[in-house]
Amino acid sequence: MAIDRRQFLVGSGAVIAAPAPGTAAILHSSVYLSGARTGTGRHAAILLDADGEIQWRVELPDRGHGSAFRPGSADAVIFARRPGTFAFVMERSSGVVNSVIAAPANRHFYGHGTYSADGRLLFTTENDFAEGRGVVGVWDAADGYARKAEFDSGGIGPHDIAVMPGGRVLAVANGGILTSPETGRHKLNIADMKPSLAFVDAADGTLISSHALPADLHKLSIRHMAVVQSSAIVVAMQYEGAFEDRVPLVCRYQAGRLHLMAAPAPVTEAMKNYCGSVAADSAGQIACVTAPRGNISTFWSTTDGRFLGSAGIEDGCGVCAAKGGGDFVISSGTGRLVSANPSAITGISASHVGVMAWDNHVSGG
Amino acid sequence: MKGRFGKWMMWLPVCMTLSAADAAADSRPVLDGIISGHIVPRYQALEAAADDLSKAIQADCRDDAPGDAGSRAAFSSALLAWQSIQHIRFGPVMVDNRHYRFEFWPDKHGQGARQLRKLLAAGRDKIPSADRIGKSSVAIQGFPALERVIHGKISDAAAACALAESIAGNLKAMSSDVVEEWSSWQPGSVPDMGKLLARNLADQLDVMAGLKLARPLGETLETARPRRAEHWRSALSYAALAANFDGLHGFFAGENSQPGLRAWTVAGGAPAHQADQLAEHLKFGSTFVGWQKVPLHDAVSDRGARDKAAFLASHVRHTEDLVKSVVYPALGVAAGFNSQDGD
Repeated sequence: MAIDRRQFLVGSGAVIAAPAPGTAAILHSSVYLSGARTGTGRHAAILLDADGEIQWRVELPDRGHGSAFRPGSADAVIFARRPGTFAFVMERSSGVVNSVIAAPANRHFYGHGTYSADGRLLFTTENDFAEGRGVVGVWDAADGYARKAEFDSGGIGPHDIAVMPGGRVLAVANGGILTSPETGRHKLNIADMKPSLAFVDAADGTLISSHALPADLHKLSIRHMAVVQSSAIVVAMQYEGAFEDRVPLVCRYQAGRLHLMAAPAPVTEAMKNYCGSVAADSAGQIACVTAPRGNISTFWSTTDGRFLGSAGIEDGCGVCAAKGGGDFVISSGTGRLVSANPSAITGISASHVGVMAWDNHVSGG
Repeated sequence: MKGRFGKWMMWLPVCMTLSAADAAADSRPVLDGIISGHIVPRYQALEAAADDLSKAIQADCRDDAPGDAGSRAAFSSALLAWQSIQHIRFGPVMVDNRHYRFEFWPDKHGQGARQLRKLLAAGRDKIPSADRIGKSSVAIQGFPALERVIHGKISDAAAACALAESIAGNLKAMSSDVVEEWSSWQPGSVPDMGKLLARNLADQLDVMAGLKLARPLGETLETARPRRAEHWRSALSYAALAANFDGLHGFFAGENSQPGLRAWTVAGGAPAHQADQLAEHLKFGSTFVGWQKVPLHDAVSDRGARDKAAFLASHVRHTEDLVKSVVYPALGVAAGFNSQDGD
């Protein structure tokens, strides 16, 4: 089913026309960090204010991916897209680059990382490509980002990583897909991939538990996560199986189990077997899952997994919480920035359309 | 004057309906032509070649000689039949991991070698049947595994024969199942199918350039890696690339009196001369490979022959660019920054 990008579908089926992009800014007070391909085809890390205006930009040697703000500090970090080997640490107020982190020999980054709750440590997802093993790298942010340790991620192809409430446990989305720098981005093990959501001890990397979907869904790559205060996790997935298959693309971890979350069939169809990113709102009640191939973004209840509605946003992928409950900022490869909640969509800034291509993820800080 | 105006008025509504989307919706006959003229006949050829292969191995194995000339020739025919339809990555071939089971490659961590060694060491009586091999690891049931048995060094010929018979039997069963299932296969939405076919075309060229050529070539003569060539053991690396081109040409230009993806591309608004240029590129690929005298795995580290392999790699990349600039827009494949290749 084709969904007009100017339409906004709420769970009830009501259709509300979206205001034209570029209308007055709505109530955000934070800043947003995103990777982008700029108008001249270069790659950059860009900090935006609440109105979507550029505060600073830092040129990157290659495409960036995920990013994070360091708690209790002025640092912000952006990670190279896989199979890149750099991460830039920048001062959030000015964009001054304070550190450039290089992946150790025989490792490359997967594009995501997170700080410990106290901001002392930075955790990065990495590939030990000689062994085909997923690794979590530990960096001492308090000591100039020195490499401190590394441990098993609990699976192949770790992608997103998050700190669980309480700060002692890391959740790792092991996508299950084996790649190698020498074969580029080709996927080498689709037939027997085994994605998992793993929990590891943030102090020493001990594997606490690992969770997989039923065996017949082993080609659902567990890629991105949003953790909410109740310790529930909303997981956004990408399907590597047959084109004709239609499978649930979102699941929720709660009380020790993964629960699949179903959208109405036309929405599942429209999502094109691919989710790009996920975020939970500031109240932790609602999650937004983007599906850029289907030009659709979806909203879900984090408490009971219910599908709440969807919005048509062309090439919309990056998503993070905005200030208000239920509000999200969604960025698009077209350069568009919008604010959306399950009942309305508002343009934040249209000034980047056709100039910036916002890359996969945006972080709020 | 009036007459001409009237004629123009009559044509106007017709022209207005010829948008790209409608062209795609009208492309169901082309889709059916690709299936009946290209896909199904090529799988039928694979089925017949796999049947011959199975029989040739049985014949050679009466003398416990799994690597004899008859088996090797039949292996070559069946492998090339597979290579000529390898680009199809939807439909029955994706059911039950069949695409990977036909050919799990590259096997970066040498799983096939390790598992085959273990299997052969257990002796003839422990070799699984064709049916059971079909349910075991993808690394030991396809063409690369059979190539190791037929073209590799084997100490226990009896065990190797039993294994070769099982793998060939499984290849035959899989290809029969694929042919059978195509008879009842139902396409999804026609525009979505067009996008999928366009991606299958570009993806195959990407595999050819990136995995089959650039990877064995390495950056320099000194860093060339001959054993990264696909099917180097049987010296069929170049022949496989020629079969890839041949299959892609049939897919795009059409064959067996049926239209191919070219017709769809032109209906979607691409200039005919650009579509023809792409068809010529695909044809030239197999012609150029046919001129090569040095096997690819030797060529990559041979000062004179290496340049030709490198040229072929750039030719494939150029052809892939043509697909993306000519076929993609005509079939509505989104060029979205975030939807292009996932992460």
